[in-house]
Amino acid sequence: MQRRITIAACAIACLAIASPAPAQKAAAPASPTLARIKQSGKIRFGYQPDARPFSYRDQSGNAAGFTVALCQKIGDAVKAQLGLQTLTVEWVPLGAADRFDAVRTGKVDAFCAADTDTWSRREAVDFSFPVFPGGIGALLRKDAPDRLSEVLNQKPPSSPTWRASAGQLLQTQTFTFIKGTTAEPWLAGKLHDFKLATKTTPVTGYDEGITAVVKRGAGVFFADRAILLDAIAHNPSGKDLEVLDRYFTYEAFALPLPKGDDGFTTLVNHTLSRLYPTPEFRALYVQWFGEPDATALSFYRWSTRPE
Amino acid sequence: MATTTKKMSLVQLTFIVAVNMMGSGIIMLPTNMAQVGAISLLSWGVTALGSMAIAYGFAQAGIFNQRPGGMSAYAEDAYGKDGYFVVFFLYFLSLAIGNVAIGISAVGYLAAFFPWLASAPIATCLGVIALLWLTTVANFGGPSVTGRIGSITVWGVILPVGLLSIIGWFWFSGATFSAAWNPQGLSLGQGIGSSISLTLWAFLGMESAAQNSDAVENPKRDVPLACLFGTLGAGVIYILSTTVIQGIVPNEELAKSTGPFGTAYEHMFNPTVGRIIMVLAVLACLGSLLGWQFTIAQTGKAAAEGRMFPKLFAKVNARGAPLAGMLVLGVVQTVLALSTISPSLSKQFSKLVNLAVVTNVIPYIIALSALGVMMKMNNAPQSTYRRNMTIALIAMLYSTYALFASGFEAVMGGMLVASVTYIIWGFIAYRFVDKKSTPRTGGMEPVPAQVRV
Repeated sequence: MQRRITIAACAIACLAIASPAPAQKAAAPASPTLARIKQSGKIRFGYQPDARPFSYRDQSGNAAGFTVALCQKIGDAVKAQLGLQTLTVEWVPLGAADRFDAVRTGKVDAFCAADTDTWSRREAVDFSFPVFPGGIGALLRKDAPDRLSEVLNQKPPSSPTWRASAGQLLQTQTFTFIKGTTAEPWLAGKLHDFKLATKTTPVTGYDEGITAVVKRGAGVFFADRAILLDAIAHNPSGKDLEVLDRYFTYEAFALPLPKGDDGFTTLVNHTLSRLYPTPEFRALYVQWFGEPDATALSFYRWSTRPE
Repeated sequence: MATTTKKMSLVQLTFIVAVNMMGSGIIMLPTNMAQVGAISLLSWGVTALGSMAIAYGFAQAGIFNQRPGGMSAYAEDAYGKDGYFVVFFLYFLSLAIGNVAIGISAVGYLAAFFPWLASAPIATCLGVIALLWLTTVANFGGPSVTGRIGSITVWGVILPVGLLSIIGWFWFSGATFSAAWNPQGLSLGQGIGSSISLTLWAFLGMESAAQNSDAVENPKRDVPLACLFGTLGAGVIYILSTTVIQGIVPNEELAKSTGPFGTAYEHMFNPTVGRIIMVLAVLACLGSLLGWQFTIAQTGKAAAEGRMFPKLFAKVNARGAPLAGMLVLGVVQTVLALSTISPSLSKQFSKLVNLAVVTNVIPYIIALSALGVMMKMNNAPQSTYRRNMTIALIAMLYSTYALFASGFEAVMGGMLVASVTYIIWGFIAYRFVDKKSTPRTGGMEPVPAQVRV
């Protein structure tokens, strides 16, 4: 009896030692991308030089940003999985026009910026797990009337309406947006719902829009929420500004990956899923976007898969 | 004692009550109501009746008690000196904060004509401080001068709002009104529920007749009448004007208007008339600030005379105006107004404004609850007692609902302020203890109202 147990225990232990982790076993041989990386000792990530805080070229000319940092983590995971002593990471700057083609043709192994996962894009590339809760947000001054943020949040008045209600909206509100972005048609369709006296004036870029709000030329600036959050963190007048918690549209940002390479996609997703609950990831988020709000926290919780 | 020539007449006091109530609050009311739909008019059924009950309670209290201090003096009959102080201090704080907020609103309305006022926080702040001092200085002439200025500013309510309630019906369109009735498809309950908060606090100010009882010729007659007429008049004008306007201006336009009465007159006549009406509305807002600055000075004066507030506030000039107190208040309000410069401080200030609603309403309940004692001390007939107590109960329940509806944050702030009030009382209570008599126990022994001067 005693002997049988010893043999069984030994058998189980031997099996455990002999077989590698299931994920690694599944991923390694099936992935042409991983095979190529193993052969060349080099991984190539695409990045977007002008999409701060997600992806940009810093002052010393290196790729930097939130998604760039995520891709560095993915590079570490690839190196560990393939058991490489050294892995060269090459950063390839790509423009908005050629980024999906670069992934599709294998010019880069992944693209690290701020791209919305859409069905039409999925015809050319695959997407990782979501990496960021994106969407249109609203930037306004902190001293804007309470009623303005309540209207934008579609909330009833939170404070008693009496003779001394100084938070009423007594002037026509000016809304601004960047011409040619998704915010333009969205705002045109939504303006009526706010039940406010409004006028809209387009701007050409983020800096111009933010300056308009700081200088009171505009009351609200509608644009990508994360980039607005970054602007608050880096603008000298940022302490006087706020971005509403509300997402006016919901767009999950994800990393475009080579089409049909399940092994590589699984490795990327597993790496992200393991990273999201860590203090390290929280620090990374805080570095680029400030303290995460409730929406962001739950977004990453839902984007994590148990082991 | 000031001579009668320096005092206010009944009509003037009634104007003060009506303008205090409506002056700044009514300007945006049609817009806020149109955002819900004309169905919101049904909420007047609750709020006008509840408010009339409060006014009736104060009018009855005014018949039994003419001592200066208004609500504080009523509270004293049931709670003694500490009741006087708590009501006085909470109400006084409410006015100090509320008046600055009215100043901010007035600058907001003025910015439609002088856009630079809204161009930078410093411009807004200077505008608010200027208005606060303008209305303070205007009160230096004493009650009669304030009453006369009030007789002018009341036209800011009479022409835009009162006149619309009468002649507006010639431009009233049933089709426009029915289209505006329920644009969101709310149920009856939802319609009233979501709009009751718009009209619930619209009548705050009905107590200003009682607060100014020391400034009128014949308080026993004038205070109750001014309270009732002022509130009734405001109620009728509120209901008629907000009803007729929904049949003149199409709902979609009204819900977006930044000057709804001006918009209505623009529809009826032309844009120039609309502009003039908006100027008059600003005048009403200033008139209301004037009236409230007068009321807070009178409230402080009465408390100072009762040894509950620095003596300074009781010093009057030759015309009967408590000049020194007004100057101190002007400085305090200037400091409060400075908060509008900083975005974070102005957020804090808006919390104070919400809290001021609570410290305005708690005194209603305390003062109204004293009505029973007053009637018993004056041997009021049983039928009067029953009728008044029933109406006072409705008034107090309505006030309690108004407290509840102010929201958690405001009620919590009000509670903290009330705690501070008791702490202050702890330091001045000794002034009112008669050392020769036995210390007070739990039961109250109010002095009969009629023996007091």
